[in-house]
Parts: sequence; structure tokens; C-alpha cells
Amino acid sequence: MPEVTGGAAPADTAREDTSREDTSRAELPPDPHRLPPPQAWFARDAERHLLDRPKFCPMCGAGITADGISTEYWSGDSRHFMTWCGHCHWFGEVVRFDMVTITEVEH
Amino acid sequence: MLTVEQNEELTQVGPGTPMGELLRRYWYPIAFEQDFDSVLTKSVRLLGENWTLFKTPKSGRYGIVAEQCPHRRASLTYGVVHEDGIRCGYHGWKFDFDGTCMEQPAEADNQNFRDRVQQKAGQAQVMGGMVWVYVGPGPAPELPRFDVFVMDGVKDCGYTTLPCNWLQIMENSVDPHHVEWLHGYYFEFLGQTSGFDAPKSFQKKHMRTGFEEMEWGILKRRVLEGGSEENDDWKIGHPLVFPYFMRVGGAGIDQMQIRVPIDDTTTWKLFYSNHAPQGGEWEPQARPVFYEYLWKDENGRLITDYVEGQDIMAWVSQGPITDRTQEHLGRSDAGVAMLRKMFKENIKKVQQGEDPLGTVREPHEIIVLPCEKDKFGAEREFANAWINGGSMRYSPMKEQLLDLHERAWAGREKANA
Repeated sequence: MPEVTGGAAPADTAREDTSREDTSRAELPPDPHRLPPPQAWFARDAERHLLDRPKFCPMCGAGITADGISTEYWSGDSRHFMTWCGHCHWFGEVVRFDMVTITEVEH
Repeated sequence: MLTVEQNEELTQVGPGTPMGELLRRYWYPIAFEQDFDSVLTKSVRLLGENWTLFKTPKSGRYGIVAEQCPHRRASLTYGVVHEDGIRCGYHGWKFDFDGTCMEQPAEADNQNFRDRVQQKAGQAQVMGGMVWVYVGPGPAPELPRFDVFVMDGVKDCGYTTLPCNWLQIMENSVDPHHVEWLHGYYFEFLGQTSGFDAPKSFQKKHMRTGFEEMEWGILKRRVLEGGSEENDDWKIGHPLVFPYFMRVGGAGIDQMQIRVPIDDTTTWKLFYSNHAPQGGEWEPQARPVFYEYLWKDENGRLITDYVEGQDIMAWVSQGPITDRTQEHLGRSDAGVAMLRKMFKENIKKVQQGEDPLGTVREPHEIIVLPCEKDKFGAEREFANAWINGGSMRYSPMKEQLLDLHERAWAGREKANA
């Protein structure tokens, strides 16, 4: 069960969902990165987004925190970051997963 | 999911903000011609700023200046309109269409005071019965003459003001799956529990959706259950027209859905329709019919027994500005992510001094947008459902519109017999 950090809502213990590892708010970068209050229902998801989103372009290596955008969506256990680099204009997905799963065609 | 900073950047429309600077590169409808039939000025709010829109009494030219007079901050909406500009009612300072101060009656004229109080000003034009304004830096682009506003037909436009950010409405336009649920399943539930027949044409399941960047925005395609890639819904699709329109159509109705960002938490929402069913006959209109549609009942509850009311529920109930740090998108939301990227990309273009997507610099007669004609494979039923089950149900000419489509359909049936 994930460690509850920062006084999460009681019901949070039932939301053992995600494939995300525990985190401490101490890991979080300092301002100006603001987050929902720690007791917010989905505060941990916002924390993980801030920590795990791509910081550099996979193509050219430029910083994309300010000059780019990553929108996160989920598919199964995977977390997809649809990413655009403002420097080289690369547009694609960075996928974070804990286990590689392959669906084989029947043979 | 986004960070707080990204969400703020995408939703703040005021002057000096990155999104505000991008949005100031486009024309917006902000009033109707008829608003000036009895008075020559109107206060309007756009992109977080207050403006005075005025019409000259003889030539009928429109102008727009910041509402507060730079002298003592009185409203220029209560000013005197001249053929060459507007004069503040308080002390008579006069400004031309470019905002240049022409007169300061109580000041000596042999000094440069007038040159130092240039009023903020934009440009204004009429198209499709609406007054459009541009309040960005010069040179102003051409006003894009999108087909729905200038094509022949019977024009009808519902409008209201919604207490939410314009972007959450735009994101709905790249979310095709909501149709079968919000306008299909939920509508059916309401019909069954409230005792009315919900339209069936919205209930078809989405088998495939596609999003394609194009010169005007994002082209949205779908294949519905029982259909194929040969259907208009996929073969042609319809576009989100960057940055604040969506073009839809079908069954002889062409519509532009307009989301004007009034400020960060207010959007003027219009459904501008042109009715020209094949084989239909109509008289020329002097002006489109404009009317306010309802979205809240007398108890303050949202009205959700019609299509646009359901959309409004989805937009407004997200809150004034959607907290995108708390959302959980899935694969079906790829269009939403693509739209955010498009905004960010064009914010950067503006910062680099380039024209953003959809800027029109060449004079033109009409811009024809791609849009399906055969909607969900349900022509007659769809036109009826759209008029009776959409915001057009509040139109003062609803019966005439139904009759126009019905007679056109009967004529086509007869011709095909």
C-alpha cells in the first residue's frame, strides 16, 4: 500500500491503484511549481506528473519545461506524455511503464 | 494532466499573457448590428479588457477603443460619436478610429500632451449580421470570411454568456466520444426518466476517431457503428477552426460554433447556423435572427434536455477554469493533447514575431471549410433532431426552419420517386 504522505484524505488508502512508487513531497521541486494541497484526493497524481514528465526533448535534448508542453494520459498501467518540443518541434510520446507487456498474435 | 503553470499559461487571456498575446492576433464577433439601431455605442468586454464599440451616425462605420478615457477614466460609451471618432462626454477629449487624441478642449493646444495620451484602439467590421473586432497589434489581418457567415441561406444564431474559460469549451471540440455518451446515452436516460423521446442519431458507437492538423486547425473524423471510412463522417470530417471556432454541418444545416473569450472565466457562446437544404426555397433575409437560449431553469439547475444544454453542463460544471492538475486523460483524449500542443506552438510563433495558424493576409470572398454533409447517415431525422433537440429550439423562427427542411425533403423525395 502506498505510503500516505502529507496527510492525504482517509479514503486515499483505498485508492491503492496506480503503478506509481511512493514519493515524498520533499522530492518535489521548489516553487514556482505549485501543487494541489496534499490532502486533495488526486494530489499524488499531480505530484507524480510534476516529477515524472519529460524535462528534456528526446530528439534534441533542449529543455522543454518552459519551451514545450507534455500532456499526460493513461492507458492501462502506462503513463503517456504527449510531448512537443518548442526548440526542434518534435512531437511524440514518451511512455513510462513498470512492465513491458506484449500482445502476440495467435500462432 | 498538466502542471499548474501550464494550465495557467493556456487559460489566461489578459493583456501581456502568452495566450492573451496569441488570441489578440484574431478577429472576434462581439456584438450584433441591431445593437446599434437605437444607440450608437456599446460597452463590450473582450480578452479581459473593457472596450467601447461605436458606430458613426451617417457613414455607419464601426470603431472600437478602450472604454476608459485616459483623462479621468470616465466611460467613452457615454460619449459623443462623430463621423471621425468619439468624444468623451465628461470633458470633451476626442479620439479618432486609431485612438489618436485629436482634441483636449480645456488644454492649451500648443504642446505635446495630446500625443502622449494615445488611446488603445482596434478595428471593427460587419460580417453576417455581427460586428467583428480586432484588438491586436497592426497590421491587422483580413477578417476571415468563413463560409457559414457569407453563404446563401436562412441564418439563425443562438447566444448566451457562460461562466467558464473558453478553453474547456474548445477541448470539447476534439473529444468525439462525448457525443455517444452525453448526447446519446445520457440523453436517452433523461428521456426515459422524464418521458420524452431522445434522438437516436447521437447514440451510435464510435468505432474509430482521427485527428489531423490542417491549415485552419484540427480536422476531426469518426467512423460510427454500422458505418465505414466511406461515410462523410470519416471521408470529410469537420474542423476545429483555430483558435475559437468549431465548424459542423449536415442535413442542410451549416453551423459555426463560436467561443469568444470575454475574460479568463467568461465565454460568449454562439451557435451560428445557415439553413440551405438541397431543393429548399427561402426569401432573402435582411439580417440573421439572433436570440438568447436558456441553459439554467428557474431553480438554478442546468437545463440538460437538449444537446447544447448537455454540452454546457459539461463545460460549466468543470468550474470557472478546469483544474488540469486533477484531470485523468485516456487514450481517447489524444485530440485534447493535440490541441494544447497547437496552442503552445502558436504562442511560440507569436513570441518569435510570426503569424499564428489561420492568419489571413490576402483579400478573399469566401473561405470554404471542409465539413461533412451526410451526418450520421440520418438526414431527415438529423435536421429535425438538431432543430428540436438543440439550442435552435429557442429560436423565434423554429417552426419556419422545420418547415423549410421538411418541404425541401419532401421535394427531394418527390424528385427521386
